[in-house]
Amino acid sequence: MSEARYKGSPLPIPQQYPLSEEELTARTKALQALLIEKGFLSSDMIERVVSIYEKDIGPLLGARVVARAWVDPEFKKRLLADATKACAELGIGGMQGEHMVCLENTPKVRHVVCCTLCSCYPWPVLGLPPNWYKYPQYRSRLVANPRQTLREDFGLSIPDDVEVHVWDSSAEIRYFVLPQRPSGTEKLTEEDLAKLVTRDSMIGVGDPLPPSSLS
Amino acid sequence: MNEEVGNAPSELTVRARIAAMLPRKSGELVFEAPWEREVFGMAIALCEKGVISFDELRWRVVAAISAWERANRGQEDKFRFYAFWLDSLERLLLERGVLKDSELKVGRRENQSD
Repeated sequence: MSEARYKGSPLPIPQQYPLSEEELTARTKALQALLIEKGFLSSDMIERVVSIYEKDIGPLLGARVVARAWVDPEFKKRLLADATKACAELGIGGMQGEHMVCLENTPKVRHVVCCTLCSCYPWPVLGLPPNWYKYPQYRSRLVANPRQTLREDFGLSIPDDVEVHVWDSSAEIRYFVLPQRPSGTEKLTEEDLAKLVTRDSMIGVGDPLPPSSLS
Repeated sequence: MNEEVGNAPSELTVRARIAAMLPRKSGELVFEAPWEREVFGMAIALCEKGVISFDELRWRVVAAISAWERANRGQEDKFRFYAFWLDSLERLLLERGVLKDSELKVGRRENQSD
Protein backbone atom coordinates (compact mmCIF):
# COMPACT_ATOMS: atom_id res chain seq x y z
CA MET A 1 0.00 0.00 0.00
CA SER A 2 1.09 3.58 -0.40
CA GLU A 3 1.77 3.94 3.33
CA ALA A 4 4.43 1.25 3.17
CA ARG A 5 7.65 3.10 3.88
CA TYR A 6 11.04 2.62 2.38
CA LYS A 7 12.92 0.57 4.92
CA GLY A 8 16.51 1.46 4.18
CA SER A 9 19.14 0.88 1.54
CA PRO A 10 18.34 -1.53 -1.29
CA LEU A 11 19.15 -5.17 -0.67
CA PRO A 12 22.24 -6.46 -2.46
CA ILE A 13 21.80 -7.95 -5.92
CA PRO A 14 22.54 -11.68 -6.00
CA GLN A 15 24.96 -12.77 -8.71
CA GLN A 16 23.40 -16.17 -9.11
CA TYR A 17 19.82 -17.00 -9.80
CA PRO A 18 17.97 -20.21 -9.20
CA LEU A 19 18.16 -21.92 -12.53
CA SER A 20 15.85 -24.86 -12.03
CA GLU A 21 12.30 -24.48 -13.21
CA GLU A 22 11.12 -26.15 -10.01
CA GLU A 23 12.72 -23.52 -7.83
CA LEU A 24 11.48 -20.64 -9.95
CA THR A 25 7.98 -22.11 -9.94
CA ALA A 26 8.05 -22.65 -6.18
CA ARG A 27 9.23 -19.12 -5.51
CA THR A 28 6.58 -17.68 -7.79
CA LYS A 29 3.82 -19.72 -6.15
CA ALA A 30 5.01 -18.74 -2.67
CA LEU A 31 5.08 -15.06 -3.52
CA GLN A 32 1.70 -15.19 -5.17
CA ALA A 33 0.09 -17.05 -2.25
CA LEU A 34 1.46 -14.50 0.23
CA LEU A 35 0.30 -11.50 -1.76
CA ILE A 36 -3.17 -12.96 -2.18
CA GLU A 37 -3.36 -13.94 1.49
CA LYS A 38 -2.39 -10.42 2.53
CA GLY A 39 -5.02 -8.94 0.26
CA PHE A 40 -2.71 -7.13 -2.15
CA LEU A 41 -3.75 -9.17 -5.17
CA SER A 42 -6.24 -11.68 -6.47
CA SER A 43 -5.78 -14.30 -9.20
CA ASP A 44 -8.31 -12.43 -11.33
CA MET A 45 -6.29 -9.25 -11.09
CA ILE A 46 -3.13 -10.98 -12.26
CA GLU A 47 -4.91 -12.61 -15.16
CA ARG A 48 -6.58 -9.37 -16.22
CA VAL A 49 -3.30 -7.45 -16.22
CA VAL A 50 -1.46 -10.06 -18.26
CA SER A 51 -4.20 -10.23 -20.85
CA ILE A 52 -4.03 -6.46 -21.37
CA TYR A 53 -0.36 -6.79 -22.25
CA GLU A 54 -0.81 -9.90 -24.34
CA LYS A 55 -3.37 -8.15 -26.48
CA ASP A 56 -1.29 -4.99 -26.73
CA ILE A 57 0.65 -5.70 -29.88
CA GLY A 58 1.20 -2.10 -30.85
CA PRO A 59 4.45 -0.85 -32.36
CA LEU A 60 7.37 0.04 -30.17
CA LEU A 61 7.22 3.52 -28.80
CA GLY A 62 10.34 4.52 -30.70
CA ALA A 63 8.49 3.87 -33.95
CA ARG A 64 6.00 6.57 -32.99
CA VAL A 65 8.84 8.99 -32.40
CA VAL A 66 10.45 8.23 -35.74
CA ALA A 67 7.16 8.47 -37.65
CA ARG A 68 6.42 11.82 -36.04
CA ALA A 69 9.88 13.08 -37.03
CA TRP A 70 9.25 11.96 -40.61
CA VAL A 71 6.02 13.93 -40.91
CA ASP A 72 6.77 16.93 -38.72
CA PRO A 73 10.02 18.83 -39.53
CA GLU A 74 9.69 21.02 -36.45
CA PHE A 75 9.41 17.96 -34.23
CA LYS A 76 12.44 16.47 -35.98
CA LYS A 77 14.48 19.58 -35.16
CA ARG A 78 13.48 19.33 -31.52
CA LEU A 79 14.21 15.60 -31.50
CA LEU A 80 17.72 16.05 -32.84
CA ALA A 81 18.35 18.94 -30.45
CA ASP A 82 17.10 17.14 -27.33
CA ALA A 83 15.66 13.66 -27.77
CA THR A 84 14.65 13.23 -24.15
CA LYS A 85 12.57 16.39 -24.25
CA ALA A 86 11.04 15.64 -27.64
CA CYS A 87 10.06 12.10 -26.59
CA ALA A 88 8.40 13.53 -23.51
CA GLU A 89 6.14 15.52 -25.84
CA LEU A 90 4.72 12.17 -26.97
CA GLY A 91 4.33 10.96 -23.41
CA ILE A 92 7.39 8.75 -23.78
CA GLY A 93 9.67 9.20 -20.88
CA GLY A 94 12.71 7.81 -19.23
CA MET A 95 13.94 7.95 -15.73
CA GLN A 96 15.59 10.94 -14.12
CA GLY A 97 19.04 11.74 -15.37
CA GLU A 98 18.70 9.67 -18.48
CA HIS A 99 19.85 11.45 -21.57
CA MET A 100 18.82 10.15 -24.97
CA VAL A 101 20.40 11.33 -28.20
CA CYS A 102 18.82 10.76 -31.59
CA LEU A 103 21.20 10.36 -34.54
CA GLU A 104 19.88 11.17 -38.00
CA ASN A 105 20.78 8.93 -40.93
CA THR A 106 21.33 10.85 -44.17
CA PRO A 107 22.18 9.74 -47.71
CA LYS A 108 25.85 10.27 -46.79
CA VAL A 109 26.04 9.11 -43.17
CA ARG A 110 24.69 6.09 -41.32
CA HIS A 111 24.79 5.59 -37.59
CA VAL A 112 25.03 2.35 -35.64
CA VAL A 113 24.74 2.04 -31.89
CA CYS A 114 26.37 -0.45 -29.57
CA CYS A 115 27.06 -0.72 -25.87
CA THR A 116 29.01 -2.79 -23.39
CA LEU A 117 26.18 -3.12 -20.90
CA CYS A 118 22.57 -3.89 -21.59
CA SER A 119 21.51 -1.10 -19.30
CA CYS A 120 22.96 1.49 -21.65
CA TYR A 121 20.13 1.20 -24.08
CA PRO A 122 17.24 3.58 -24.55
CA TRP A 123 14.68 1.27 -22.96
CA PRO A 124 11.87 3.81 -22.95
CA VAL A 125 12.13 4.13 -26.72
CA LEU A 126 13.34 0.76 -27.94
CA GLY A 127 12.14 -1.68 -25.33
CA LEU A 128 14.23 -4.61 -24.19
CA PRO A 129 17.57 -4.93 -25.96
CA PRO A 130 17.82 -7.94 -28.26
CA ASN A 131 20.19 -10.64 -27.06
CA TRP A 132 22.82 -10.08 -29.73
CA TYR A 133 23.07 -6.42 -28.74
CA LYS A 134 24.39 -7.46 -25.36
CA TYR A 135 27.07 -9.85 -26.60
CA PRO A 136 30.59 -8.50 -26.32
CA GLN A 137 31.31 -9.96 -29.79
CA TYR A 138 28.77 -7.63 -31.37
CA ARG A 139 30.38 -4.56 -29.91
CA SER A 140 33.98 -5.53 -30.60
CA ARG A 141 33.23 -6.65 -34.17
CA LEU A 142 31.18 -3.58 -34.87
CA VAL A 143 33.78 -1.16 -33.55
CA ALA A 144 36.63 -2.90 -35.36
CA ASN A 145 34.88 -3.41 -38.67
CA PRO A 146 31.44 -1.88 -38.94
CA ARG A 147 30.80 -2.44 -42.65
CA GLN A 148 31.75 -6.09 -42.52
CA THR A 149 29.67 -6.70 -39.37
CA LEU A 150 26.64 -5.03 -40.86
CA ARG A 151 27.00 -7.02 -44.07
CA GLU A 152 27.77 -10.41 -42.54
CA ASP A 153 25.67 -10.32 -39.38
CA PHE A 154 22.75 -8.23 -40.52
CA GLY A 155 22.72 -8.51 -44.31
CA LEU A 156 23.04 -4.76 -44.67
CA SER A 157 25.40 -3.54 -47.40
CA ILE A 158 26.50 0.06 -47.03
CA PRO A 159 27.81 1.70 -50.22
CA ASP A 160 31.42 2.84 -50.03
CA ASP A 161 30.51 6.49 -50.40
CA VAL A 162 28.35 6.41 -47.27
CA GLU A 163 30.13 6.99 -43.99
CA VAL A 164 29.39 4.68 -41.07
CA HIS A 165 29.55 6.15 -37.58
CA VAL A 166 29.58 3.78 -34.60
CA TRP A 167 28.35 5.11 -31.28
CA ASP A 168 29.03 3.50 -27.94
CA SER A 169 26.22 4.17 -25.50
CA SER A 170 27.24 4.97 -21.97
CA ALA A 171 25.39 5.20 -18.70
CA GLU A 172 24.98 8.92 -19.37
CA ILE A 173 24.07 8.96 -23.04
CA ARG A 174 21.83 6.48 -24.81
CA TYR A 175 21.67 6.75 -28.56
CA PHE A 176 19.05 5.76 -31.05
CA VAL A 177 18.90 6.22 -34.79
CA LEU A 178 16.43 8.19 -36.86
CA PRO A 179 16.42 6.12 -40.05
CA GLN A 180 15.71 7.66 -43.44
CA ARG A 181 12.11 7.64 -44.49
CA PRO A 182 11.64 4.94 -47.14
CA SER A 183 10.75 6.12 -50.62
CA GLY A 184 7.20 5.63 -51.81
CA THR A 185 5.75 6.55 -48.42
CA GLU A 186 4.72 10.14 -49.22
CA LYS A 187 1.02 9.38 -48.91
CA LEU A 188 1.16 7.22 -45.79
CA THR A 189 -0.33 8.37 -42.52
CA GLU A 190 1.87 8.79 -39.46
CA GLU A 191 0.27 5.68 -38.00
CA ASP A 192 1.16 3.56 -41.02
CA LEU A 193 4.65 5.02 -41.14
CA ALA A 194 5.22 3.88 -37.55
CA LYS A 195 4.51 0.30 -38.64
CA LEU A 196 7.48 0.46 -41.00
CA VAL A 197 9.94 1.39 -38.27
CA THR A 198 11.73 -1.65 -36.92
CA ARG A 199 13.75 -1.94 -33.77
CA ASP A 200 16.84 -2.80 -35.81
CA SER A 201 16.46 0.33 -37.89
CA MET A 202 16.60 2.39 -34.70
CA ILE A 203 19.76 0.60 -33.55
CA GLY A 204 21.18 1.20 -36.99
CA VAL A 205 21.67 -2.39 -38.09
CA GLY A 206 18.68 -2.46 -40.41
CA ASP A 207 16.46 -0.37 -42.65
CA PRO A 208 12.78 0.43 -42.13
CA LEU A 209 10.37 -1.92 -43.90
CA PRO A 210 9.24 -1.02 -47.42
CA PRO A 211 5.70 0.38 -47.78
CA SER A 212 4.70 -2.83 -49.60
CA SER A 213 4.95 -4.64 -46.24
CA LEU A 214 1.77 -2.90 -45.07
CA SER A 215 -0.54 -4.63 -47.51
CA MET B 1 1.73 8.83 -0.02
CA ASN B 2 4.82 8.16 -2.03
CA GLU B 3 7.25 10.62 -3.54
CA GLU B 4 5.99 10.18 -7.08
CA VAL B 5 2.60 11.75 -6.57
CA GLY B 6 2.38 15.00 -8.47
CA ASN B 7 4.21 13.94 -11.60
CA ALA B 8 2.90 10.42 -11.92
CA PRO B 9 2.56 9.45 -15.57
CA SER B 10 -0.91 8.52 -16.74
CA GLU B 11 -1.92 4.88 -16.60
CA LEU B 12 -1.88 4.61 -20.37
CA THR B 13 1.60 6.04 -20.67
CA VAL B 14 2.93 3.66 -18.05
CA ARG B 15 1.31 0.72 -19.81
CA ALA B 16 2.79 1.70 -23.15
CA ARG B 17 6.22 2.00 -21.61
CA ILE B 18 6.00 -1.37 -19.96
CA ALA B 19 4.67 -2.99 -23.10
CA ALA B 20 7.64 -1.70 -25.06
CA MET B 21 10.24 -3.40 -22.87
CA LEU B 22 8.87 -6.94 -22.87
CA PRO B 23 10.29 -9.79 -24.92
CA ARG B 24 8.11 -10.33 -27.97
CA LYS B 25 8.15 -12.54 -30.99
CA SER B 26 6.36 -11.14 -34.03
CA GLY B 27 4.62 -8.71 -31.75
CA GLU B 28 3.38 -11.37 -29.32
CA LEU B 29 4.42 -11.39 -25.70
CA VAL B 30 6.70 -14.31 -24.97
CA PHE B 31 6.38 -16.31 -21.78
CA GLU B 32 8.44 -19.47 -21.74
CA ALA B 33 6.75 -20.97 -18.67
CA PRO B 34 3.60 -20.38 -16.60
CA TRP B 35 5.60 -18.91 -13.69
CA GLU B 36 6.95 -16.18 -15.98
CA ARG B 37 3.46 -15.10 -16.86
CA GLU B 38 2.50 -15.03 -13.17
CA VAL B 39 5.58 -13.07 -12.13
CA PHE B 40 4.86 -10.48 -14.78
CA GLY B 41 1.18 -10.28 -13.81
CA MET B 42 1.96 -9.89 -10.10
CA ALA B 43 4.54 -7.18 -10.69
CA ILE B 44 2.33 -5.13 -12.95
CA ALA B 45 -0.77 -5.56 -10.80
CA LEU B 46 1.21 -4.33 -7.77
CA CYS B 47 2.40 -1.31 -9.79
CA GLU B 48 -1.10 -0.51 -10.94
CA LYS B 49 -2.37 -0.72 -7.34
CA GLY B 50 0.39 1.63 -6.21
CA VAL B 51 2.02 -0.90 -3.86
CA ILE B 52 5.29 -0.39 -5.72
CA SER B 53 6.31 1.90 -8.55
CA PHE B 54 7.33 0.51 -11.88
CA ASP B 55 10.47 2.63 -12.12
CA GLU B 56 11.72 1.22 -8.83
CA LEU B 57 11.20 -2.27 -10.12
CA ARG B 58 12.67 -1.55 -13.51
CA TRP B 59 15.86 -0.11 -12.10
CA ARG B 60 16.33 -3.19 -9.98
CA VAL B 61 15.79 -5.43 -13.00
CA VAL B 62 18.27 -3.44 -15.10
CA ALA B 63 20.89 -3.45 -12.34
CA ALA B 64 20.38 -7.16 -11.67
CA ILE B 65 20.75 -8.06 -15.35
CA SER B 66 23.97 -6.03 -15.59
CA ALA B 67 25.38 -7.62 -12.44
CA TRP B 68 24.45 -11.10 -13.63
CA GLU B 69 26.04 -10.57 -17.01
CA ARG B 70 29.28 -9.38 -15.46
CA ALA B 71 29.37 -12.47 -13.27
CA ASN B 72 28.24 -14.95 -15.92
CA ARG B 73 30.14 -14.20 -19.10
CA GLY B 74 29.64 -16.87 -21.71
CA GLN B 75 26.53 -18.16 -19.94
CA GLU B 76 24.08 -16.10 -21.96
CA ASP B 77 22.00 -19.17 -22.80
CA LYS B 78 21.05 -19.40 -19.11
CA PHE B 79 19.62 -15.90 -19.13
CA ARG B 80 16.02 -15.90 -17.92
CA PHE B 81 14.51 -12.45 -18.18
CA TYR B 82 11.66 -13.06 -15.74
CA ALA B 83 13.95 -14.60 -13.12
CA PHE B 84 15.31 -11.09 -12.69
CA TRP B 85 11.78 -9.78 -12.36
CA LEU B 86 10.95 -12.35 -9.70
CA ASP B 87 14.08 -11.68 -7.70
CA SER B 88 13.82 -7.90 -8.03
CA LEU B 89 10.15 -7.96 -7.08
CA GLU B 90 10.85 -10.02 -3.96
CA ARG B 91 13.66 -7.74 -2.88
CA LEU B 92 11.59 -4.62 -3.49
CA LEU B 93 8.68 -5.98 -1.44
CA LEU B 94 11.06 -6.90 1.39
CA GLU B 95 12.70 -3.49 1.29
CA ARG B 96 9.30 -1.85 1.37
CA GLY B 97 8.21 -3.91 4.32
CA VAL B 98 5.28 -5.35 2.36
CA LEU B 99 6.58 -8.87 3.05
CA LYS B 100 8.92 -10.37 5.59
CA ASP B 101 11.84 -12.59 4.71
CA SER B 102 10.58 -15.27 7.10
CA GLU B 103 7.20 -15.37 5.36
CA LEU B 104 8.82 -15.85 1.96
CA LYS B 105 11.06 -18.63 3.23
CA VAL B 106 8.16 -20.54 4.77
CA GLY B 107 6.15 -20.14 1.57
CA ARG B 108 8.97 -21.43 -0.62
CA ARG B 109 9.43 -24.50 1.55
CA GLU B 110 5.73 -25.28 1.45
CA ASN B 111 5.52 -24.92 -2.28
CA GLN B 112 8.64 -26.94 -2.96
CA SER B 113 7.42 -29.95 -1.00
CA ASP B 114 4.16 -30.09 -2.97
